[in-house]
Amino acid sequence: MREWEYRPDEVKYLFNPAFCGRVIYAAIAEYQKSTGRDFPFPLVYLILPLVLPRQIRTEINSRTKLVNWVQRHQELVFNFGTRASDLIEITNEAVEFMMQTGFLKLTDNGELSKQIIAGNLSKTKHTDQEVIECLSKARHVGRWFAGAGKVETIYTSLGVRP
Amino acid sequence: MQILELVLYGKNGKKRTLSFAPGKMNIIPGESKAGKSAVGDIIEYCMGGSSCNIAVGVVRDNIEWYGLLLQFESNRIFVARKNPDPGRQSTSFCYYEVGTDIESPEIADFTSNTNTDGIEELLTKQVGISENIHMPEEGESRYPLEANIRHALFCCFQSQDEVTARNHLFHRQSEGLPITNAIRDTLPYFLGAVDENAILLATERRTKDRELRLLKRQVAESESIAGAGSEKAVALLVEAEAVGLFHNTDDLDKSNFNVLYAALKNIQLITQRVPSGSMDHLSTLQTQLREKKDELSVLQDSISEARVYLSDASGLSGELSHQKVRLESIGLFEKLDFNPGKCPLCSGNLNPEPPGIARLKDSIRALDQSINRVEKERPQLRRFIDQQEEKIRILKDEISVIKAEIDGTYAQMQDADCIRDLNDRRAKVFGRISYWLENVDMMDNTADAKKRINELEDRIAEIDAILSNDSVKDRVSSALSVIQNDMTAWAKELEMEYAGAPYRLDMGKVTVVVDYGRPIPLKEMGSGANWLGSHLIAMFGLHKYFINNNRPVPNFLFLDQPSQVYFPEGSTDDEDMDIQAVSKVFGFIRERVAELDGKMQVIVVDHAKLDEAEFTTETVEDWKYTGLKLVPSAWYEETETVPVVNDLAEE
Repeated sequence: MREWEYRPDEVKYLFNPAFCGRVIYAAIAEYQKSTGRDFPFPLVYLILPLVLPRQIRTEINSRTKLVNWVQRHQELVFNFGTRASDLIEITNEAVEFMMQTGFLKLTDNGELSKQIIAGNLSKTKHTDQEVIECLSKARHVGRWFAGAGKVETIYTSLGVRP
Repeated sequence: MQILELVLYGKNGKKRTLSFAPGKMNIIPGESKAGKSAVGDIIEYCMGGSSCNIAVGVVRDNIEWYGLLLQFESNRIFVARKNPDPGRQSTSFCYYEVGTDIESPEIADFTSNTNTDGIEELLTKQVGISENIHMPEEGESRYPLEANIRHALFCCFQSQDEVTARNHLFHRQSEGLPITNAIRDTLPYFLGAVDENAILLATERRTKDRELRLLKRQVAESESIAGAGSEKAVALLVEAEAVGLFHNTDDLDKSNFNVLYAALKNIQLITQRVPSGSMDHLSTLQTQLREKKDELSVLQDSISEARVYLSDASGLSGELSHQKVRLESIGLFEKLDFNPGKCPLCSGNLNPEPPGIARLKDSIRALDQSINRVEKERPQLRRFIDQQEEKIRILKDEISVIKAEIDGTYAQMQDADCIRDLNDRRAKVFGRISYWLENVDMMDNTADAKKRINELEDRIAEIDAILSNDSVKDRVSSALSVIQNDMTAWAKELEMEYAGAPYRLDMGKVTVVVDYGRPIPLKEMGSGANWLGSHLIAMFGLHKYFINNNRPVPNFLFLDQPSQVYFPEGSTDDEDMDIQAVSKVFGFIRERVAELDGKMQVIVVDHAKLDEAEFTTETVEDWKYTGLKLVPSAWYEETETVPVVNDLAEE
């Protein structure tokens, strides 16, 4: 990742830490709401590669269990590892940003937790459908992870390892 | 035009008037150096011309302006010309006045209001010279010449050297060939041999000639278009059939012009409708094609990755039955900094490392330990690939359909072009048929045109006859033969040599010729008396003709020293003069003037002073031994002594 000034505009605008951070926050908050527990750190790298790609995002549905969903959508996840790898730097920046601004904190256990409560999107100011969908699906992902069991299970069902 | 006064305006402000009687003989006898010749020079100077021939001397030294009071038929003109400055040849400062009864101004308080050309034009018009032109014959190198007052004056002066000259007849003829040619070219006009309307006729001829040529061209065009009658009609019908405007040419009777004409007249211009809108339809199709192709390429991309994945996977394992593969690493260990004291996310220094960070690193390490060796099911992509391939096949079909439609549309557009082309060709043939029909119709009108052409040709021939130089020559001949009669009769009167034989003017040689056995020109005659006689009969012959035929020539004649031939060689003593002969000459002149009934004026300046009653009556001023001169001696005796210049001898 280059210094901020040297990134191409598309990268700056689409993958900016604020937006990505807000997406990650949405997933984490939902996870915490569903399970009552803090969010395991390694899972944070699996959020953006699921939410940002449109083809995958549109198919996300937390009513189906993650494992089954993966089985049914193999064409979408067969290259998940590459996507996740590509998004690591951006995920790091987004997490740092959210931690700097106080929305997320790193617990002594090495887990993530929401800190400041983020408000909902203004319905008049932010009307971009894609943005709304991203946040919504991020919450789905949160529920997925919440209902999928251990971190190991989630990683393996998506066919990846650290 | 006759002369009423000659006026001198002196540098001393005084005025000296010399009055002449119109319609009579005016005699000024005087001794040498009285200014006799200057009278003629001054008259000529006031009538234009670029040079001043007034001799340098008393006159030139003392005069400011020269003036003439001229009498025309219904009005008078006063013209004046400034004396040239000392050392100058001439001046073009001129002044004029016109009026019915004007008198010459008392003092020269006028300033120049015209120039030499202006004076010449004024006098030319006033004397009645109309527009005219002499066109030289083919092969002659002279320019066309228009006669003006200066040419008329050739007949009005006979200076001291000229009146008895044997080699030259007319005034200024001694100046050379150009003058002789000018005389030859302009005399026909003055004799009235050139039609007064020559200029107008020439213009009329030009206009009619233009019209004639135009008409002839039009007639020729009509004839050629309609031309060859039936042949052309048949050719047009064949063309019409070729473009579908006419059918069954073979069935027509080709030898019957009327049938062909009728067939052509009946042809209508029918055009086919051109299918429209092809262009827009084509654009739409092409857009659709593009979109489908984009879709296709997206589909193809989506399965190529899957295919690659499948083939890679099977390649690695080597055995198709082995359906399990290792989990894919997302590269956390490469991308995060696991060094102690370093932040995993940003690689910054952490001193001390917070517990959370350490646990974070631990959790990742533990995860990895745990699933490192796990294998997963090979993703079942085949069904996905098949589905995509089905979609691709459908899409490709759709693309083919669109392409076929595009081709069809192109074909349609080409057809449209063909139709348009055919319509154009039909229109062109129809146009040519219409044009031909028009001109055939016009054939009847050429009868009128032809009649007009004949009219024009006749009139042009008529004009040519009037204007032709040959007819001019004939008329000149005729005039000269009238003059010849007078000249012959007067030669007898003057008892010239060969009296009785025909004396005539020869315009070829521009001299007097007597037909005595053979044509004897002036220069071959002997004795001064004959020369004088020839000059007199010629000049009077011309002037009589001019007057009787109302020709636009000034009606005065200036003679300088006609009596000179009657003084023995070198002498000017009165005792030596042949009084009888001189008296005869003066009598001759007197009679000629009388015959013309006041229409001609003669001014004679001469040495001789005859003791006759008529002579005395006719004497205007006597400058012979009276102390009276042209320029009053009082004028120059008042002024400073003038440097003595060589006076020209009057002999």
